[in-house]
Amino acid sequence: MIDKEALMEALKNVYDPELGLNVVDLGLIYGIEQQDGTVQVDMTMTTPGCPLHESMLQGVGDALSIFAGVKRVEVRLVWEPLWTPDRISAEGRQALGWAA
Amino acid sequence: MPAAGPLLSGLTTSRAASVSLPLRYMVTGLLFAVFAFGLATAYAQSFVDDVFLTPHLLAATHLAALGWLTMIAMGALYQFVPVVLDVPIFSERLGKAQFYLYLAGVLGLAYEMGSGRLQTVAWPAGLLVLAIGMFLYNMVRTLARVERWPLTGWFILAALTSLGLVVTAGFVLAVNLILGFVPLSQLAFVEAHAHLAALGWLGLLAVGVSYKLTPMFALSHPFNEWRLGRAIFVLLTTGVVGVFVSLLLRLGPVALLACWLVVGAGVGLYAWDYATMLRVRRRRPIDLTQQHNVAGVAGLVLTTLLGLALVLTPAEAAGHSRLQLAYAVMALAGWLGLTTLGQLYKIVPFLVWTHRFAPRMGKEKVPLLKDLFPQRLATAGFVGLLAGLVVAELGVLTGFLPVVQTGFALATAGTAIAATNLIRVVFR
Repeated sequence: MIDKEALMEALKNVYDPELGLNVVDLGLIYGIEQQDGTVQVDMTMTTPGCPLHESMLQGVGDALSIFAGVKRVEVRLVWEPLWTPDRISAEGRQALGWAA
Repeated sequence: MPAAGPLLSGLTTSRAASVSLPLRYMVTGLLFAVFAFGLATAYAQSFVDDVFLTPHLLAATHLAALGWLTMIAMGALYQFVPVVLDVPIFSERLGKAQFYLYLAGVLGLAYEMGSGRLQTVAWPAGLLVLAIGMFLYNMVRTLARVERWPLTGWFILAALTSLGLVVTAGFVLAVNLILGFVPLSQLAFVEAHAHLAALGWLGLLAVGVSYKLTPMFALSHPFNEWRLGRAIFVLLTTGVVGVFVSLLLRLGPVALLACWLVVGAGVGLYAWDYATMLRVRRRRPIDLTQQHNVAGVAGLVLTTLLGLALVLTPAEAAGHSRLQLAYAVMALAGWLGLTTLGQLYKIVPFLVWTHRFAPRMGKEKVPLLKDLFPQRLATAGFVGLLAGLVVAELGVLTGFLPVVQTGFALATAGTAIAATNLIRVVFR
């Protein structure tokens, strides 16, 4: 088992190239599970029809494939619950100029 | 190090068209934008002569509407429809073949019009009918597979329907110049055709696209696109059809005014809704695209007011032609042109980024979209274009030639900067 914090840290290398925020601070990662060398990530997008969704899913898979012991990465795109800006971290809000 | 790649599930089927399809339209459209403004600068006299529809004006108008705006709109739809409506383009090969026919048609039409040879304008018009027919066929076959229709999808459908009518009316107009088989005023035909092109095809598309892109980029929340969007869609489509029919059949000033007020109500509600999208945005800085769009929405409101002034001004009144020209410049450049260029500052870097950098994300540091072009130069282009349009409008309205020339020269420079900036991104 790989430390979940380490996986989340690796995911910070994957970011929305338009907003300049990584997928963790954007609140796009809904869950990470591990079993027998397979890492399963549930993630969402800021909006359905986001043109970046394929690139982001691919990036998440690639970012987690660097860990020794990871044989397979499954990235599931989910829409429940729908993402809202309230999921953005404090650091992310600051970067967006959103103080509230 | 595991060799296994990621397994992607969910919405992972590749829907997007290859980047070369939309980019060829966008790069060519940008070049036509510079060409159209350059022509307007060179023949600025036509804007103060109080004579409507001179050959050079016709050429510049069609270069702007077809070469610049429609060229980019078609490229944008080839990229936009698959990702937003979740359907692949029916045939990319058809889209690529259509591009060359369309390009030949635009060049031929501008040449024949600019040379004053309206009797032979039917041949390039025929090429355009063929090319746009191919585009519409491709889009209809693509849209037939859409399962879920957001507000933007309805606007796209209405815009494409308008395009079909525009090109049909344009071709009938071109053939009628030779055969005269339609017992309608040619001027009525021209006005109806032009309004359907600007308001129906390009306008409905611009409004519809903004309902997807503005909340997405600005992180507008909470924002419900259907709250006012449904009423705006009904008002704008009804108003556009009404204006088209009123102009074509010369139903008189009262009918035209009534239809224009319906359009105005739709525009007013849209401007309010657009302001709401910005007011509830969580991404506070107004970036370059939003700056273009804010100016574009202001241009839409001014276009509507100038249109109202035109409806209320008798055609024989002094300066009526200049008012028509100021209205046309505001619609094509101040509203649609600024909006289109603003969206390109998102779409072109996105396409290039997806092609060049996306495969490396997660493995190494890759640039952001805004890093792909110099922001200050882009801002300089925007300011030049905006200032140029304001000056040109004042010059056209007052009939003062040096002001018109200065305005269009500034607009040409601003557009050239934008074109250079964006084309450099493509070849980065």
